[in-house]
Amino acid sequence: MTNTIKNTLLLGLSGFLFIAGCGPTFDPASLITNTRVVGARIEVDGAPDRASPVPGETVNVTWLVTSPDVTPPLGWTFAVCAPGTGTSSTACLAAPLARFDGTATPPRISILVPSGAVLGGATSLTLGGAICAGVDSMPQFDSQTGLANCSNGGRSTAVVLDIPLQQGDEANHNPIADRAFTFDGLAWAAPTAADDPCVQGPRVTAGSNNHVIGNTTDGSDREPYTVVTGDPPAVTTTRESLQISQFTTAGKLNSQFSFVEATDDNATTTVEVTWDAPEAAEAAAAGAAVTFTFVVRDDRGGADWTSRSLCVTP
Amino acid sequence: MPRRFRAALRPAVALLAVVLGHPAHGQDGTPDGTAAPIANALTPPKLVTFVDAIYPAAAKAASLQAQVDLEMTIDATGRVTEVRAVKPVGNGFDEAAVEAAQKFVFEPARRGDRAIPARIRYRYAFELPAEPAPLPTTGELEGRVLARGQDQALAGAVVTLLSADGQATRSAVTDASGTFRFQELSPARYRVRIAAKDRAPLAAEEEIAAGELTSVTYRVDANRPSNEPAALEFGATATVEAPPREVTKRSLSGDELVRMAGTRGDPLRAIEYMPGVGRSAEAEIIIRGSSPADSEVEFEGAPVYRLYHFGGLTSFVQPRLLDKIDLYPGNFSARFGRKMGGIVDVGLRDPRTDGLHGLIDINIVDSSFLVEGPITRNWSFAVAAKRSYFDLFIDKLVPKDTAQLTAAPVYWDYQAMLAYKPSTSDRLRAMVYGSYDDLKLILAHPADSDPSLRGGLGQKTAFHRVQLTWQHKYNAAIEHQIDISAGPFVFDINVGPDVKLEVPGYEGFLRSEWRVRMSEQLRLIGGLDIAYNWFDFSFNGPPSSEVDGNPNASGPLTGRQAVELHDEFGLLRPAAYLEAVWQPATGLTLVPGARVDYLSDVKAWTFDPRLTARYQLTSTTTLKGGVGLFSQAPSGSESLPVLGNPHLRPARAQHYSLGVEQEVGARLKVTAEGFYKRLDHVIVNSTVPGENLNNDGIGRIYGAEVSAKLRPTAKSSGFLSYTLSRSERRDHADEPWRLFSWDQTHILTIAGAYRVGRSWDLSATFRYVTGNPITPVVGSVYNARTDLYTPVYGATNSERSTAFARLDLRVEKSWQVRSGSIAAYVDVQNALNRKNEEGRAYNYDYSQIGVVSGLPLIPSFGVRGEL
Repeated sequence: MTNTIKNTLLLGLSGFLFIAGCGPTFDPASLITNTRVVGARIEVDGAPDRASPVPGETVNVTWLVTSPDVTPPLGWTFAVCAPGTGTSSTACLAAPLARFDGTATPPRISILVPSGAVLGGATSLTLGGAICAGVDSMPQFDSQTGLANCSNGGRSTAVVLDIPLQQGDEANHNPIADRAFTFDGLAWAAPTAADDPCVQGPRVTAGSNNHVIGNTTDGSDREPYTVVTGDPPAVTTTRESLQISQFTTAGKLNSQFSFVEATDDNATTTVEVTWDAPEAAEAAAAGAAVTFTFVVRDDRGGADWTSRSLCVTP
Repeated sequence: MPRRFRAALRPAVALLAVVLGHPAHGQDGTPDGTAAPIANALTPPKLVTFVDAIYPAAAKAASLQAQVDLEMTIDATGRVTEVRAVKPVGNGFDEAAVEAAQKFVFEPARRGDRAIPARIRYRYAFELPAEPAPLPTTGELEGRVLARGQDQALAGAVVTLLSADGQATRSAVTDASGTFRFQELSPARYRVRIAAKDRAPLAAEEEIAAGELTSVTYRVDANRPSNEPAALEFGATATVEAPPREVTKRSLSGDELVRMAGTRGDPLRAIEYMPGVGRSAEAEIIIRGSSPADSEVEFEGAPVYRLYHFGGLTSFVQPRLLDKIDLYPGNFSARFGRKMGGIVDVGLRDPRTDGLHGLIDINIVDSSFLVEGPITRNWSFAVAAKRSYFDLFIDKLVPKDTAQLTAAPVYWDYQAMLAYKPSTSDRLRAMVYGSYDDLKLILAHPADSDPSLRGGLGQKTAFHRVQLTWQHKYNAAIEHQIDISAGPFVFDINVGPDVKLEVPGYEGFLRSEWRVRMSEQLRLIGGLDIAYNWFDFSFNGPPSSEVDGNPNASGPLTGRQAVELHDEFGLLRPAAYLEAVWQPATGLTLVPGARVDYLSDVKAWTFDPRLTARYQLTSTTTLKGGVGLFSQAPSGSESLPVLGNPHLRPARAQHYSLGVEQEVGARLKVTAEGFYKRLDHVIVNSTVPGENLNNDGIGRIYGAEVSAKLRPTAKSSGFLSYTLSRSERRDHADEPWRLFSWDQTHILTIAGAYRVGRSWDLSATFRYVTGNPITPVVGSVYNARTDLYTPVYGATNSERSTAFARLDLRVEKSWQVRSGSIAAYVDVQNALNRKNEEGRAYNYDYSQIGVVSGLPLIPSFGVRGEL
């Protein structure tokens, strides 16, 4: 028996017991209560739908940072690490292939993928760093631990992203997050920058429960690809699955994650998540805007995101 | 020094045992049975420490020999409290025999599993070597007939002995003391019929062996309407067992543990209460700071993967069939191998032959039954089974938006046994037994902490075995036993779509052991121990990873590299062992032994020499010590390609121990023992790219154990065990020593049981254990590929969880109903409702921490009927 498996199963069962009331209670991970990093998107320069660069190409990485309200100014530092160096380790920061510091929101960097000779056969690059929220707040790394604090005294978010390099001609394309959304069965459009959800968006009553959010995905977002596995090694064809992360700034989603499995043969698949509106005390008389963020990932580094909003009224 | 005389033991000695235990009395005159005894049969005292008498010099010079009949009183602790020569023979023989016998130590007589005082007759033979006593060709049957309830002797009762074909061969009439005796009986099995005025007739069967005196006590009921024969209270042949040869063997007393709080009546659950045994929330067995995987549970001589059902609630064995639960925390015999931690050896007794018996136990968790009895004169049977019924109601307790239980959780087990005793020299047993655990649930949505935990989640463990055992005594000196067991098993784990393990297979075990008494001072034990497992292995998931010292092992599966392996393969692990039990001087026992193993999976031979010694310093003090080498094969998946590393070597351990056993007064036995274990070639996670595991690890474990055990009486029993230890590992040469993940500095258990009146049993168990080491989380990194935070750990196992403390209580009330009994019980676990820390939980980014507490106060109710 594999110890890891056994332990994981026990973890799962333990988690089950926690749910049953034996463990502590925290805010759900899907509830955005502070400034948070919730995703990163890799785009090959000139081919933004492709997430799998080849040596010599430039790749743009954009980080999705979200907040309960307006996202504050950010300060960030990233380092592209040599293969096998580690992620946020001091070794990576001490001798990165490239280093980036900035304050733009959202964080966005462009990386020139080194040549094959530099990569030494590596199949991916590692991008590590830290992001701080607040005016004039930059990450400051501890030379011993490699962990970072923010210059304003706040808590930084250490981040890492594995950037898979394209093998042969088997490209990986980013999925598309914004296919079609419904809220309680009605079409739910993406807001524009000027939209006030309490003017144009769906309105729900505070304290109401079990609102159903439908997210339709397309089968083309789950590309087939080949893997080498087994003993002796053999090439087999498989297909991506989609992991959808969903977040809200108020209320309660019944799960942070939804999935469209690789075995799903449907041309389109709709996943559903339920949402409970916040209590009346959290809603102003004129209504309170609630923002939902949806980040979709495939199995190979492709990602995309979108958002929706609505208004909660007393 | 050559011994020129010998004390004739075993068949050459006539041994008369008259059990003096006074059963509690019920209103109807039947045994009260408030303790719901495992079995009504009485077991005579067994000699465990024999002391040679000094041959009187004048008698030796005159070439005189003698046999001194001694009457010995043995208390409930097994100590000889009084000795006298029944018929003095003079010439200094009486004094010499009495002096030696006063130093004998016995395992006390027992009724059921309860120790009771006894008086036996023991013939001490002084023989000169030139003229050894001829081996006897006949046996004797002697006993008493008592009125059940009052234990008054029944004079004038007619005791008739019938041959196998039902022909009366002999008869006798009891005297005023209720005593009868048959001498010069041909070895055979006899039927015994007892008829007494105003008493119900009684029937029994006795095995008479050459040179042995079978001593019995029959308790006869008053006349009753039915013709149902009364239960046989006692019928056994008193034999002298070999002296102990293990440095440390902790045997559990069935009745004592059935009454122990916190076990729910399952003695096997009390293993973790023994000295040297750590505590595990998952009911894994941690012996002397060793990994659970380093120890083995042997059931009827064959290893079993799992002793307990899901969650450790109960074992898969019917408690009332248990014959022995022996724990060897270290320096174990060469007959055990392939493990470097400790051994738990569990065995079943033969079915009862004194009539049909049954038991039904119904509680809120499961129900079980046992039926046993004789079939014919030589055949007997037992059938037991148990099934849980969580599955009938637990889905109503689980929030619907959390999970849907599809087959969860259910367990059942069974044991069926046929025993056949064609002669006094042969014993055959056929068994089928098995165990099944299944848990399947469907999560309503992916877990926030690890989205790989989605969809189906489950585990199924099952095994079924057929076992044949044949024990044959060629003569008084040579004995052979062979055990063969085989059967299918299945082990499946399913964790969402990312991890799937399916391992159906077959396994077979053969043990052939010879025991030869070369002389009074030397016994040899040798045998073959062969294990074969065949797997149809199918796996998809992350490769093997050691759990100890690796907090990441229990981290999310999401984002991990997955491997796939489908293979059919067999593991052949033959071994041969030889052990000598040598008594070179009075009171001293040396046990040198060695074991050779071959491990086909890693193509390795191992050779493990071992030596243990016991020295009886005084009649109450025994010193003991041991040293030995122990080798352990990698587990099945650790040596697999892709998943583990086929180039692994066996891990090794050196065991050292030194201790003392001290009798204190009549009821208290105190044991203290220090131990040190050195581990090398420990399998650890490799730091070499492309290599999953290697043998870089080393370890050291040291500590001391103290136990104080109050020998059980009809009224009370109790024990205290305390272990102080430290267990450390170093995974790689360039890393510092760290604590073992289950290192528990202090382990204290105090347990006691007390009988109030005739039918109330109260018991309590308190346990205190130092919290397990924890690797602290000092930060986290957001992984944009998985949308999960990965914890950043501080120094491995540098913190501890809070200490564990728990009080368990048990109350049992029983009633006699005709010839049976009914008992109702309440077993309250964690009576103080203490929130013991069993783990830690974190929020999504590890910025908040919370304690996961163990089970709250849980009362368990049950009813048990017994016939």
